[in-house]
Amino acid sequence: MKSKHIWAGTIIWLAAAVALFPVIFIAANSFMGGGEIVSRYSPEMLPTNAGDFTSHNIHFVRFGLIPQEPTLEQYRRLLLESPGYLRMFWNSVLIVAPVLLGQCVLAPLAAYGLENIRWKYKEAIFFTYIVVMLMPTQLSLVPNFIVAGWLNIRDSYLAIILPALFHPLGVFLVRQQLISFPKECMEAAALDGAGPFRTYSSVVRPNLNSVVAALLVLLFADNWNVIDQAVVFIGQTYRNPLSVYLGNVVTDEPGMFFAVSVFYLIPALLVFLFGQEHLTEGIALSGLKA
Amino acid sequence: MKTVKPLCSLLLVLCLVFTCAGCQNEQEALYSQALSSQTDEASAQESMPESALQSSEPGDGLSGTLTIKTASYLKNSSINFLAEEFMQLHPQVKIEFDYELGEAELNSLSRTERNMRRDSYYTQLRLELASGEGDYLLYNVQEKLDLPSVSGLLEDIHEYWDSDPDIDPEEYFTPVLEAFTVGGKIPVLPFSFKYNGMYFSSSILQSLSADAGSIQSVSCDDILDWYEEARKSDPQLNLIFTSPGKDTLFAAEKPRYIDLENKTADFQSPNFIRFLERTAAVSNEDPELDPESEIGISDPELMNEKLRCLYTGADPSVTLGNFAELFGHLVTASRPAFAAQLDVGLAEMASALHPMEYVAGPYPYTSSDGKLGITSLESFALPVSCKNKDLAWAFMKHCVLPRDSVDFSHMGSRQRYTHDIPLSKTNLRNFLEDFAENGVPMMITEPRLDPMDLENTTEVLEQILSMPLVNTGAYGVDLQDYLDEYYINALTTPEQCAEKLQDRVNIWLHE
Amino acid sequence: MKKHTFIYWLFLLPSLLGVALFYVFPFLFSLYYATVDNLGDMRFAGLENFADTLSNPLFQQAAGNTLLFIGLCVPLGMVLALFLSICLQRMGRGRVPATLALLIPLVVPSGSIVYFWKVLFDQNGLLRKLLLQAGFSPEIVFQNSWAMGILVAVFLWKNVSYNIVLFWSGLVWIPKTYYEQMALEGAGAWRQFINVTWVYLSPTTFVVLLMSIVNSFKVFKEIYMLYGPYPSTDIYMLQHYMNNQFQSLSLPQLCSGAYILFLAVSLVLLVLFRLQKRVTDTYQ
Repeated sequence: MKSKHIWAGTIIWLAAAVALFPVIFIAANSFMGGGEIVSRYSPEMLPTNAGDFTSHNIHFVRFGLIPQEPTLEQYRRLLLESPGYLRMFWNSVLIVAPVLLGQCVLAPLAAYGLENIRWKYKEAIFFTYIVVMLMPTQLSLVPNFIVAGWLNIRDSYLAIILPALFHPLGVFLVRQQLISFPKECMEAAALDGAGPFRTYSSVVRPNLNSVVAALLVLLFADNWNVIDQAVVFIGQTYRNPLSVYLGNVVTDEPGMFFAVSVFYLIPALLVFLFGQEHLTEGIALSGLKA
Repeated sequence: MKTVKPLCSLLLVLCLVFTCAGCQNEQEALYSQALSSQTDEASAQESMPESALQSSEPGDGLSGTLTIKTASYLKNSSINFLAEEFMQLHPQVKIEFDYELGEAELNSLSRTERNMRRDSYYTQLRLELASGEGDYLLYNVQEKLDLPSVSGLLEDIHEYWDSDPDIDPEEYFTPVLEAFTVGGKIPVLPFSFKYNGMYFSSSILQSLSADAGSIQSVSCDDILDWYEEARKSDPQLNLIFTSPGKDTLFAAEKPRYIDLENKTADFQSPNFIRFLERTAAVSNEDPELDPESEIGISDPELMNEKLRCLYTGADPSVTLGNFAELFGHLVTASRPAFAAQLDVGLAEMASALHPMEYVAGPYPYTSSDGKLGITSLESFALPVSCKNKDLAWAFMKHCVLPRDSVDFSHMGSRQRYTHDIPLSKTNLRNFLEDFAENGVPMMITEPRLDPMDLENTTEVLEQILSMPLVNTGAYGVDLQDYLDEYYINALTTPEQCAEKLQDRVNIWLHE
Repeated sequence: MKKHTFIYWLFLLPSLLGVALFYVFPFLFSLYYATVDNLGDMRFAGLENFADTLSNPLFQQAAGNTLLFIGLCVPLGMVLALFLSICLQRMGRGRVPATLALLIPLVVPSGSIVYFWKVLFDQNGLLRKLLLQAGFSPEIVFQNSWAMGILVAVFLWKNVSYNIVLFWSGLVWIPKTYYEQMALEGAGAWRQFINVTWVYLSPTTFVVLLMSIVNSFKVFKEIYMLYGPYPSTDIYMLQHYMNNQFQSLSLPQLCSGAYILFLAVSLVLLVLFRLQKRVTDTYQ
């Protein structure tokens, strides 16, 4: 079936190009100096962009991936002159890491428990989990603020970490997968004398790796980009995560913006490289239904 | 791929280590410094002897800490002195300021970081007000909160104003206070204010046979009528000195087309379309001025100097004195214009009594249906969630009440109580008398007022204030991008621009 | 298994407590806000706020735009993602780097990608430049009525990746033997898809549908950075309505609007949830 492979491959590489293009743009722009960026993308007609296409008093962007004057100015400014942004990067890590660890441990456990309890209104709990995910952020900001006041965590990262740690997405994803988990496996383990926890840790959990990996990827995506909660709960600017800085700097400081973006992306890519093999694991069921 | 993995893990570790190195930076150092000095102060406060409490004046039961939330820190601004005064009068009271951008932040933060700080400051302020935890007094931040809906969260000043025996209603310019009414309540207490003003070139007014002395107020219709008439003999005449932008006349016209009470807007009416057409047709070019530092400095004094140089051939480097370096180029290179717009505060009021040679004004500048815009840069709002309201009201009162001196010289500073028109008539009179004695603190000239001129100033002002007044801050919906699209980029017809403005204002009114 | 029920509850407990405190409580608390008339007086106003909101023409317009947006984004996102996931499954070499490439949109922060979208779609952006250079008249080029299309593109770029992750984790669970069996019985690719993939993927499909709807609300962050709090009426959505009400602290209106939205969506989801359960129960 080689032709199928070629077709599938072509489509995927096309899609990958679309997905990658903005990132290539950002990376390419990180090698341009602040002056060039302003001259390329500003809507004002400046002496430096006099040769570009203009109309109605608006200067149009001079799009390009190859810098006219390549320079490491952005990286230099970021790494050597502004250690504050490095600190903000570390803040992002401090927020995301506990969330991932916590969900990784709690969510499969809770989903396993939910799947196995016998209660008339079990599905109602599950439905509640689904329903609260639909709440828009603005709705929950004031109550979350009040709750954070009660728990006295208002000015700390815990106010961001804890809600993210208990986000229903984890339990939801794992439980949806557990629905199709063959019950025979678990019954077999029980017949062998394993208690619930043994069953969980030896039989169920190892096969959930792909779902947990998917969950971690998605949680990482959401929390690496946290902005609203950080604005609410963190006062001093140096304790903000880097995503807030990037959200604010859209046109303010062209001289460093792209370098900061690239910097923010690289560790994420590395984390993905690690996780991708777990994503492709599947349950080894080849012998079961035969 | 097998070799990639250990390489990647090495890179990852390197990244993390590297960023760890950037951990402690100067901001954190500044903060820990500020924090430790605050705790020092607090402990000094606590160690005050008990006997100080007994030695307070009879009937003065004020004590406690009042926190005031305000916008950026300004060195030696009058509110800081007012707070000091109050603390001296009431030794058991401590007033603290919580700035949007404090001294430390102003010095050390980049522009983006300031935006971040601003975002989080106001978001947290809103959340604290909404959850009933806002235990502070607001000074000059209420503009950032949308007044109509927040009015439920702010105390009605009426209750305090009417019931306090120290407040004599006759003593104050009450119409200004009433202008800040929202839904039957007054959520804001201004202790000074300005009103929209317009200045004109006297010679042009004369050539139009308009009697400069008898003009009561002007609106954009008058201004455009005169301008178009004057332009017939001088096609190159600019409308506003130093060309601030063709949308300058829009701000004062807004209240005509937006009805806050009934939540309607009327931008698609023929009147407004005509306004758009006429304002787009004016001449507004100053090609020789620097766009960053000179365009839009529409100061009537500078216009006066410009006209002086034009008509008498005087040398600006001589007549401008100390300001020659700063404004010399502006005065020589700017094009002749018909009008200059400036809000009327104390100094500008005084110049009305002692007019400039070549520039007439200021005249109250109203919307075309007669509403005069009032702005206050020094005003308080008291949240319902504030715990010690008596203390807060006492301080607010202290700032509004008539006082003896116009500055804080009794505390060692030349800083004036205010640069805008005080709400209290006595304070206004004090300032005018000070101008008569020591000259008006204008920029270039320092005219001395004749004490005879001061006689009926208060009456004249009261007459001006008897016009319908509106609070300009209440119309704060941002329409600039649509205006720029129309005026600068010429991308929309007047009808399309009006439609877009109407849509956005409708959204803003109905949310 | 009855004696073990207690232990299962114990497993569930931490999550239950966390969700109750951080999600269910705010949910109920907002209901309280939705039923008071004014934040200052806190007088009980019953369903007055809901009636006001429903009859507010601005709310109705925003609701219409939101429905249009969801109606465009969610199906497109799901179909594209499923298609790409299957292609990913079928492709031969280079799967790992391709997967990585497809997942990159998930980690690009909003601020960074918004700069790119602005360069493309802003008033002085590349798209308009090309259209003007191609000879289209300025009226057509600068009008805003296809702004909705831009929003859909912004949503799809990131959320197709999100959905691919979800579909992929569901796809790898389907044992190859099922496909091999169908192939032995002579079924073509399409039959295999309908009978095997679609059926066993339905729990995942429900997940993808739900998360797509949730993400269509979250994409507001990027939309806000692109167009500000008051965009043109063509793209003014419920998220703008709610965000502006939060900024002006009209919490009763905000909460009543959000509840109406939420009730509508959960009704739809309840129906789909039941449907999905029926499909999965048939093959259990």
